[in-house]
Amino acid sequence: MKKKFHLWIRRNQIVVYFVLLILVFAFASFTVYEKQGNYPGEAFLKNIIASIQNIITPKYQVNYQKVVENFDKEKEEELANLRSLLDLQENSSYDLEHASTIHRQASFYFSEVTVNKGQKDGIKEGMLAITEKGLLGKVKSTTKDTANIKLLTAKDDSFKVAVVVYSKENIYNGIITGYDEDTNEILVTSIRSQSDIEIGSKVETNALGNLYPKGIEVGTVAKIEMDSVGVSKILRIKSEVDFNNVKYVSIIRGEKE
Amino acid sequence: MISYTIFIILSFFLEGIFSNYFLFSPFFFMTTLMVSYPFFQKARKTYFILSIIFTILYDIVYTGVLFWTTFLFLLIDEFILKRRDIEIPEFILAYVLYHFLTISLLFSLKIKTNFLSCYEYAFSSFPINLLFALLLFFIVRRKRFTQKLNY
Repeated sequence: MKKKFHLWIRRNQIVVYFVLLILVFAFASFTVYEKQGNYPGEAFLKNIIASIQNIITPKYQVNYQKVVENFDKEKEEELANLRSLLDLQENSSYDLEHASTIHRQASFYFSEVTVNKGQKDGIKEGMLAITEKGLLGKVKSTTKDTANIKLLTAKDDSFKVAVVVYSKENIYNGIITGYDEDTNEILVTSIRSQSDIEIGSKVETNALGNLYPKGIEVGTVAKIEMDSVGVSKILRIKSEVDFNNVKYVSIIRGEKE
Repeated sequence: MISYTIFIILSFFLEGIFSNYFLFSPFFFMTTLMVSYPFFQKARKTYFILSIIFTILYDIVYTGVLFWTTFLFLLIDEFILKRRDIEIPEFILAYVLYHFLTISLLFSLKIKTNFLSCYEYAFSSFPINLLFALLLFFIVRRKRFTQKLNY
């Protein structure tokens, strides 16, 4: 019986692999959209890899507060970024935890980066991640030593952030509902059709609903469109953040005490 | 056999480290698995089990899509490794198959909508991955593939 089964599989390999492909696609859909938290053993594995990568990663990427104190002229541009992030800590009303990217495998495809700070540093799922240039994304999952950040460029229907748009005379509320990867623009919807928003208007996060902190820079308005029904406007926002080159991240843990 | 297992483990970590410095799609881990295949002639079952375990770990840590890399490895194993000697054309075939199926997955799940940028990304990552494959073949088999490319 077993031999017949093996023989059948050998003769129908293409059919078997096609069925496997469908099953894997279905499972992949589940893991991408429905998965909450970590797989069994995932946290343990990620912590081990993080500790090894922290050994191999240059010291300035692991703890850049110390590096800025010992200025190295060869790394001027990098240090300028680090200084901006540290200035952000001083000037911000939020309690920020600075972190470095330890790997971004499949980042382009899945729009995620992994950073070297986690639960032991007070990082929790749902916290916003920023750079000195603006909003980057949100923490998707954490382990003791690492955190996975889902970038704003990811297709994530659950990641809706309330924003405020400043025109010359008024302030309008809207919601980030997606990212257009063809034009590299953040989409903001639910803007009143009679608004006097212009190209170049500034967009920041709004504390509506107390879900996310306010005042985090998102970008500037690049284009204004009407929605398909003609009831509200859709804004296309250009962000200063380079989502393809994320080395240093600040995670907002809460308000400064 | 132990040294090739170490190679596989090292390439596993190398992928994560390299991805930190370049926006590119590392293919080091799969390349090392493929190159190691002939050296497990007397231990096919061990190779198979080791590969399944490592590809599952790879998906847990790097892609978050469980069994995807495992499935791709099974395809590459069945249709390339078992039927041909591993040379540069086979590496290219595996690379194309891997990225074509991964990009198809992304489109079917609506994770990506810009077809061209996905293929540009895969194509732009090819030179470094090819360099790694050449280096690995040179180290592992002590022969130069440039001879086979007829320069």
